[in-house]
Amino acid sequence: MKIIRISALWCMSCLVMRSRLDSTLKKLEISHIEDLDFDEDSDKIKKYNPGSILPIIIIFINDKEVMRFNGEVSKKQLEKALKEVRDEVIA
Amino acid sequence: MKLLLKIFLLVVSLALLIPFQVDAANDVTIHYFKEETCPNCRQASIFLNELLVNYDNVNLIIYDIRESSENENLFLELVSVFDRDLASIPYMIIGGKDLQGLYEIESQIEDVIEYYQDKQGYTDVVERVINKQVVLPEDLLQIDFSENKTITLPIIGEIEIASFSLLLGAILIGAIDGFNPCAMWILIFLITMLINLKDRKRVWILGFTFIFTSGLIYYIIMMSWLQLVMKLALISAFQIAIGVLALIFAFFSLRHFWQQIRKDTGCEVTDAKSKRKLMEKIKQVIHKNNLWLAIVGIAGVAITVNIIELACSAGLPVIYTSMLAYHNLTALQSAMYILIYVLFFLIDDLIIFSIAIISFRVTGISNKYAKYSSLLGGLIMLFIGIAMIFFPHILF
Repeated sequence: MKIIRISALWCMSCLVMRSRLDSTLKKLEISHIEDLDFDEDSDKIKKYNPGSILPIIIIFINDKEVMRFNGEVSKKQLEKALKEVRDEVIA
Repeated sequence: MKLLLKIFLLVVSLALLIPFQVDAANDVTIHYFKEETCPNCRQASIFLNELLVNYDNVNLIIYDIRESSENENLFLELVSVFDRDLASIPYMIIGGKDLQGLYEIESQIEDVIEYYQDKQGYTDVVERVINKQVVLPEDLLQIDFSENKTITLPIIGEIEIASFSLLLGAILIGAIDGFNPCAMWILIFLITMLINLKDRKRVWILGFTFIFTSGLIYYIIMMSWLQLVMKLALISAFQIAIGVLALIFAFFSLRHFWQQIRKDTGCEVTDAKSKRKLMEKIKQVIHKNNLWLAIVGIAGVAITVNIIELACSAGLPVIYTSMLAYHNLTALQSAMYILIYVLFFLIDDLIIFSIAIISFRVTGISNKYAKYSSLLGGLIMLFIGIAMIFFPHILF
């Protein structure tokens, strides 16, 4: 499983989501996350079709996108979704 | 017996000749300065007509200040005699007491009438001015008839009820205005960059400079707008224009809220090119070796950003300062209310900055609060717009 997080230094929602996602990943013992900056890594993020709301969290299984979150998501929702994906991978 | 009866009748007759001194209520004259097209004057006239039904010893002299230059000159001279900061109508004078604005008139005139009804031989200041006689300080009544109209708040203490609504407005509207994310992103970026430098002193100094300058610019803009509105406030159509402006701002605010709730909560990527330009500028400024140059640079960024982003939240500060102008406050009172407004405008910035200083990391506030601030701001402006046009006595 791979997680891509696209955020920006000026984005408050990104700060809010950073702490939510980091604590959820720690709880679920998921460590593989790649951070991309919307402004600094504009070339790299093009292939992910970023859209206009940040942050963007994209979950891949075997290089295939299975889930995407745009903007702020509750910790509960995040935990539920990531747990389902993790369990699917383990299975 | 007959002698006693005669003496009794004599005493009674003599007694009937002694004039009894009965303290009748004085005649009181209200000098009322108004103008036909002034909506508050219309409200005041309606109020006065209903009130004076209860008094048969009150004379009313009306001066339309637009009808003749004599009336206008008399009005202006009296405003100067009573040392009022603003020459606004409706304006009433009884004896040595003046009442300016609809609120003061409605809340105090009965007390003033009753005071002068009991006062023998009082000085009518208006007549003195008309007759070109000197008005002495002791001719002006120093009693504050609004003294009873106060409430007591914790910590703050006693406060006039009229002032309370302006104070509440400054706190509430200032705080809602502050949740506007337009200039917030710069502060977040700035603090993030500063924390990456790992220089706590720079975080403190440059962050504080940015916030202080933002507050100062906002304060200057609001004070300037207040001066302009105070000059225009005499024009009755201006009040309607402000009401219409409030409704327009309300429409855009509520529309913005409606558009935002249908989207995900997050940071919208708009105007990316100018954002990058500004971010580059900030990076250059904070990396300056000379701290003073960095301070000047950050102050410059704060001024630029807040002026550009003023359009984002122009509605709320404009409407609030317009309300201040119509309350006949002194310059110091107006300045204090605007200062309170700006403090609450900066409160979310101060929270983020304080956390950054203490924990040395940047914490964000969810953008969902910004959405609801659009809704609240829109509803407040809708209320103020409608009240200014149709029910101004609710506001002033």
